[in-house]
Amino acid sequence: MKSKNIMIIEDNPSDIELTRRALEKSHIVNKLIVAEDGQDALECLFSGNPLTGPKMNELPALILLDLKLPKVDGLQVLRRIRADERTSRLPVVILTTSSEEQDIAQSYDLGANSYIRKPVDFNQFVEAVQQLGLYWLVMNELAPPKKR
Amino acid sequence: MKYTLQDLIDMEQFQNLQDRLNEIYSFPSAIIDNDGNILTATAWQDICTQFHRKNKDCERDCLHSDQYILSHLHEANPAVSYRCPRGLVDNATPIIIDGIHYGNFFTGQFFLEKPDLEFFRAQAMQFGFDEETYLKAVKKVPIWTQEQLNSYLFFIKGLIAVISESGLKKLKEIEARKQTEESEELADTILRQMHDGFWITNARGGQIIDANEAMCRMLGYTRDELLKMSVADVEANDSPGMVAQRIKQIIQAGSANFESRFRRKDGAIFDAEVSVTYLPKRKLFFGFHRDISERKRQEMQVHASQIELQQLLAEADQSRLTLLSVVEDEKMAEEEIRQLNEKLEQRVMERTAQLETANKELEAFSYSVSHDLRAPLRGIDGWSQALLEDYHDQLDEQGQKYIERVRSETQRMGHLIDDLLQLSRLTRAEMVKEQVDLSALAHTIINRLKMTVTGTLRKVDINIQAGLTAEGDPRLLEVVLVNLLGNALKFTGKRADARIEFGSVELQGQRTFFVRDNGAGFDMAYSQKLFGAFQRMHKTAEFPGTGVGLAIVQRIIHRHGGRVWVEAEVGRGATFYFTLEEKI
Repeated sequence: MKSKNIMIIEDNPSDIELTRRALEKSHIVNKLIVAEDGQDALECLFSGNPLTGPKMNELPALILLDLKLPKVDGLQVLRRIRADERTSRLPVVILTTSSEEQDIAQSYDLGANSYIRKPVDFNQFVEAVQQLGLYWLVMNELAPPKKR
Repeated sequence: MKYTLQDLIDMEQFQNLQDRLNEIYSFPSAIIDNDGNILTATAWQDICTQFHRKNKDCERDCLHSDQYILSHLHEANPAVSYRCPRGLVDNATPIIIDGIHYGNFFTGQFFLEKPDLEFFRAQAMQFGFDEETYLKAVKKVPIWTQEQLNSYLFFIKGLIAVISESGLKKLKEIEARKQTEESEELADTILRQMHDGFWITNARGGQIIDANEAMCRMLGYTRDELLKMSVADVEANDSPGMVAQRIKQIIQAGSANFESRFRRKDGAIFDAEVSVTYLPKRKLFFGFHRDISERKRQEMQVHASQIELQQLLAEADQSRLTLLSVVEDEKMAEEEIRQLNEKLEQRVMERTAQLETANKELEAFSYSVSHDLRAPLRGIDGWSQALLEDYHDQLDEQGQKYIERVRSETQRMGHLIDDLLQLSRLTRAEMVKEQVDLSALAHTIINRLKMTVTGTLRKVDINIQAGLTAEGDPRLLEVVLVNLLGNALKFTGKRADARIEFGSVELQGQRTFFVRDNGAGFDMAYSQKLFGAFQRMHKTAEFPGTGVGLAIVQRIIHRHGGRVWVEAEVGRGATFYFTLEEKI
């Protein structure tokens, strides 16, 4: 079974919509699951929550993760994802405005698969999203989830 | 024994007395001293001298009788009597004067009863004496009764005692006088010749009765002069009243020792130690004087030395205290320094902590800027684009241009933020110095820039000196070269014969790198502003840029301890010089 869902964990509605727009422009029509803060994302992935709805039926194929998030920050979310057997092999691409060296290093240390800095230029942004969608969802062979 | 019997008794006169006594009483007697010398002898009987002591055999008995008497003298009371084998009686009494045994007084020989003539006839026969003369001699021997003998003895003994004791007394007197004379002479000699001054003064007015040589010498007067003077004339210490007072005290106590001062004839005054004895019987003072000027002077010297020594000791003590206080001060200073150091360390730690906090805050700020300022820009840009795309038909050309303007401004803002972030990051980033091949680095950068910055593949003459190396942080040096070479490419963009050079020269003994171009250049009047952030020399339309690049370059060069400066001319290009280490 191969899910084509993409999960975006991002608190900026403008960025969410621009990302959605960029994906659409790239003809990547997969379902976009949105979590607007770290806590939402974790509940959505692992437990389900009466406020945010039930737990996802299936895990996304790719997670686009912003670092600067309310409540539980991006690195914390990444750590939890990698700590759980079910999600430890899930591709996580950091998509953030920060180009701080420290953030990049920590992200990779915690097991990020890629680190993309959102360009201000929308055309470049579209290009970046397009490329990463193509790469991770089409070209890249995903790792099988760990056996229960 | 000090004296002989002859010393005590005039033996010649005593012999006369004995002779007279014999004439009157027929009293044979003799005085024989302890050495056996016959001092006097009266009426020695012929029977002994002519017969008994002449015959060898008979004499033996005589000697025997002598011996007996001598050995029994100590028992004599008052005399020792002995009847010799020839029938004669001898009597001896010791002469003891003033407890000393001087000799013996012999009486004899006599008979104490009428002699037996038959016995003597037989004796004459026995020893071969002529009977007639022998018996004649026997008949001459006096016959005494015991009472007679005792009286004689008492008399003679008393006589000897009286005579000899008076003789002894006389002798002793002579002797005592002699002794006194001798001792007086001795005392006189001592007094005359001794070193100490001696005088005798009387109790009335202290007149000088006598004075010795030393006293004269001491006072500088002749003896005759002194004998006309009194104590008060030479006394230099006390008032006459005090002298009188002292004399009184000496008379009461009998003697005194004190120190005084005397005036010499020449007026000089000297110290003397005086010892005075009062002889009450003669009402005289014996005064001994010793000149102690020298001793006094020495004492003064010793005293002065002592005072000096004490001063020295006091000074030494003072010095010691000073030294101690210096040491104390030093200790205190050390303690103060230690405390200051501690404070300083404390402050450094506090400042470091503050700095770290400030840096963290700055990092947080940069993070915010980087993340939060850029996000809305992207939104503006994104939605502007969306507007252009989705509502293209409803916007005329002018409207579309405006939207494009919005987008370009937004992107410029994005670049500004990026440059600003880089500037702040460079200030904070830790430097790791190593040997950097600047020539190789410059080649890489030029190749990269030629594609991106210039966009077009225009012809640029690039000359990079080979073998340029420097000690520094490779990433930061790359940023320097990117900016300088980037600028060079940018500002030569309008020239067909663009020429860019990277090399090094020796300036004032220091290796100096330079990046030279023949581009637009600028007016040196504004060169001061060049390295400030956001300072630009050209219109954006001519040469785009944020004006942060050279500020970044300067900051990196300064962090390496070097300098950066520029020489330029409008229309003829610019040369940027930089050094990478502090000038020695």
